[in-house]
Amino acid sequence: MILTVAVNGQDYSEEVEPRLLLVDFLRDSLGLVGANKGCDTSVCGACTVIVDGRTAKACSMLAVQAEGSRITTIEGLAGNGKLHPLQQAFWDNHGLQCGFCTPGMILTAMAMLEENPRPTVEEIRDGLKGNICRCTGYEGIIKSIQAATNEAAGP
Amino acid sequence: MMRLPEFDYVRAESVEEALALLNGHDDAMLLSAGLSLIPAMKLRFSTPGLLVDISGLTSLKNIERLGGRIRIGALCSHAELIASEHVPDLLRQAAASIGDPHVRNRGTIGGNIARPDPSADLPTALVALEAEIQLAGEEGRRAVSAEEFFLGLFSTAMMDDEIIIAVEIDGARNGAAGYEKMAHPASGGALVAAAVSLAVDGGRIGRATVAMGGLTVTPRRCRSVEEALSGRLLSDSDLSLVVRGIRTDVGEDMIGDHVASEEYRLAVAQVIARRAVTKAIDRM
Repeated sequence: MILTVAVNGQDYSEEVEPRLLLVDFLRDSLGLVGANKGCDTSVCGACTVIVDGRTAKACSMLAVQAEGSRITTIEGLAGNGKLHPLQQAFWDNHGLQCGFCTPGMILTAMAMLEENPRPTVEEIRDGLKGNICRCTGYEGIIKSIQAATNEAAGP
Repeated sequence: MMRLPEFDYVRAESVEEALALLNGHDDAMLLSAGLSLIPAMKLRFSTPGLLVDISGLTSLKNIERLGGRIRIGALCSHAELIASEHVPDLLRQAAASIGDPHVRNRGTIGGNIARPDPSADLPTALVALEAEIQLAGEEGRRAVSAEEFFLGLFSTAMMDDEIIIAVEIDGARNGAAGYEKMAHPASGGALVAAAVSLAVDGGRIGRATVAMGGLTVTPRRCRSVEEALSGRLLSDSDLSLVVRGIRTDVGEDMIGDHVASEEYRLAVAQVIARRAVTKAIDRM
C-alpha cells in the first residue's frame, strides 16, 4: 500500500508492506538512521521519534500507522548549519558518551519542553523514564536538558 | 530485530465497519496504538491475518458524565485519562503509573484491557472500581463487570467479533483512592500492584474495595482485606493484620516467574497493599 507521510518537513509517498515497522521505514527506506534499534521490545526508547507532536517508539509502530502524519527525527533538528539548542546543550554539557540513546533522549526532551518549558529535575527524570542510557548515569543528560531550558528562558 | 510476518491491514472508518471486518475474517485483530499487539506479533504470540486499525474512530475517544456514571471511550489514551477531572482518582493514579511518557501518550484504555497480563495497571484499578466494560458486536451491545471481564492471560470475556466501546464507572466511586505498585525496572509494568478505594464514614473507613494485581493471572478482589478495613478508625495505622488477608484471598492461584517468585510477590504484596491504604487515607 502507499504510505503518505511528511518527515522533517519533506513529503514522501512510498510503497510499503503493512508489516514494515516505522523504525525500519525511517532507517531503510529513507536512510534516516538516527532512530536506533536497541531492545526491540519497546522499553529502551532508542527508537523514539516524534509523530504529530507526540513521542512514539518507532520499533513498536507500523509505518502505515503514521499515514498522513508529520514525523520529526533527530536529522530534522539542525538547520542552516546550526545545531538545535538541545543538540548544542548536549554537546556543551557532555550529555552523551556512546551516543546510541542520544537521538531518542533529545527528541523526548524536545517534546517534554514543549509541554513544560521549565521542568524540575524530578520532572526531567520522570519524563525520561522511557529512554534508557547505559553510559552516562543520566547526570550529563539532565544537565544538558536543564542548560537548554535556561538558554530558552533567557537571562 | 524481529521482522513481523505478513498480514493485511485496513483502516476502519466506523465501529460498524470494524465489526463487519471482524465478522468476515477468522484471523482479524483490532489495532489501536499497537503497544501490546506489535511486540506480541514480533514474538509470534499473536499472528493475525488482518489488522483492523480502529485508531481513527473518534466516537470512541470521549470522556463524559452521563447521569451518575462516568463513561470513558475505549480509545482514550492514558494521558487523556490522567488529564480528565471526570475520571476517578484511582484510575488516574493507575494510568499515571503506566510505563513511560511515550506509552502514556499513545496507549489506550481499550488496548490496555483487551490483552491483559498480570503486569497491566488498569485492569486492577477497574476491578477495584467495580467498573463495567461496554462491548459492541453485530448482535448489539452488552456490559460485563470488570471482575468477570478478565478471564486469564490475554483472555477476556470479549468475543472474537466484538469490540470494546467504553468503560463505565459509577460516579460515586470517587472516594479516597490509592494505587501503589512495585514496577519492573525496565518496562514499568506492575510486578505487584494494589488498588484501594475507600468510602469514609465519620472517622472510620466505610465500604472498601481492594484489588491486587500481579499475584494471580487476573486482578483479584481481596474481600478478606476489605472486611478487615471496613469499620476501622482512619487513625489506626497498624495495617499488618489487615493485609494478612491477601494470602487467603489469593489461595491456590498464586503466580510467579523468573523475575519474581510467588513467595516474593506475596511478601511484597503486604507492603504494597499497606502503602496503597495509607495513600488513600492521606489523599482524603
